[in-house]
Amino acid sequence: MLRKAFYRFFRANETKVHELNYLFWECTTRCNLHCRHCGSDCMAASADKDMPLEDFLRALDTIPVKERPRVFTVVLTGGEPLLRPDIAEVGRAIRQRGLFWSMVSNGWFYDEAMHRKLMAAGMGALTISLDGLGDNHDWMRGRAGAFERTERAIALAAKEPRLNFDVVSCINRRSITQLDALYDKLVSLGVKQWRIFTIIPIGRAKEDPEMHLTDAEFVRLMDFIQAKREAAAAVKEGPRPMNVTFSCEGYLGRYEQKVRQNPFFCRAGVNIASVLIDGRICGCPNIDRDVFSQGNIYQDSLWEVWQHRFEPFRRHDWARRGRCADCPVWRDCLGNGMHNWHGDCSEVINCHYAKTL
Amino acid sequence: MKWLHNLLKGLSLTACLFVFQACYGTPEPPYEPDIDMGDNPAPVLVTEPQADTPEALPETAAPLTETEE
Repeated sequence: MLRKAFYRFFRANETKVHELNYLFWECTTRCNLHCRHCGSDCMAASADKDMPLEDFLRALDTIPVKERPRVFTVVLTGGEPLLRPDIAEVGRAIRQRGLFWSMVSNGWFYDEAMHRKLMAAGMGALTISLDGLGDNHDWMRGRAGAFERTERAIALAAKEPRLNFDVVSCINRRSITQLDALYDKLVSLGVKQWRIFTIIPIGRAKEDPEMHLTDAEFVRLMDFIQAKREAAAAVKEGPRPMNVTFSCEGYLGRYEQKVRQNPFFCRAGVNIASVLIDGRICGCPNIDRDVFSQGNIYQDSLWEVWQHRFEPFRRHDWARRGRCADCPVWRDCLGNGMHNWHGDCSEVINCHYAKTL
Repeated sequence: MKWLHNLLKGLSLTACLFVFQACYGTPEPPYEPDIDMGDNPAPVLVTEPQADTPEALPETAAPLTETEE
């Protein structure tokens, strides 16, 4: 009880301070894959052109040097960031400002030459997505050969000691049957960190029943992660087992701190902002941008927007509606992750807590 | 309260509270100043570039080969 009270106090204080630690840049919405769960309906030929590097840098430079916390990362995301021919130049420009950067990729283009190029440009962290084994990954990603290419990329990145690297997996009704095999595969590739998440019912995934775990399957996933974490904690000597964790995508009730290190805290708009492909400024890129965007770098100063807007991200009172209105865990959940509110926001579209009851 | 934020961050027992990653983001970089500053040229390639490189894809691209159901 005391622990919960402390964490609520900590979270409230962090929200008040709202230090910007994590800035996504949606640097392209082009993508070479056609993922079934894509929230942004990315495609090879996007309606939006890649944002010019200089436009993003102009926004980044609105953050005064003295206000930049020591812990600050620019996360390149897409689309597929490696489709930008200037990706290394992007990284260099960020690094030359004394800042750190990282990237989320599907791994298709991540070969040895690319790896060396990005490391030389100062990449500090990398996440590669793997959503299943063999054909299951290809099915999810909409392209034959994706698994083979991703597996190669993972093996390459996992060997790099200077890179903080993890693999993310979007678990669906097909891959839930492959959890142990996926674990073994990642261990064999040398992966140290595996982060698991589930699929939000938006974009292409909304009407696809194979994307969404049943409540029983969700509990099975939680039990799997908990068991792996407990087994890893029991190892006191020798190499550390792979760290398996559930993403901070929602409040998990009885599984809180059993499937990830810290209690649930949606930091979108509290510590996390994004510059979207058209210049809009929002929390995380998977949040409903038509509802929650707070400004646009082509009209506003990114820093001013961060300092003075983002009210719906920092005060969640508005979310106390629908099934959240009289929820017994409101004080710990605060309406779940911001990406679970879309459209008219009359109801949260995903309640992780309810799945665990 | 910034002072409290800084105090908690400095305490080893609570420092882990500040380590986070966005659900669809990356882990934090190591924040070590000796990470390449990007002022070194990329090393000479030791492997042949692959046929399907990003440079080979046009900006307004063609249909993809999708997997069979």
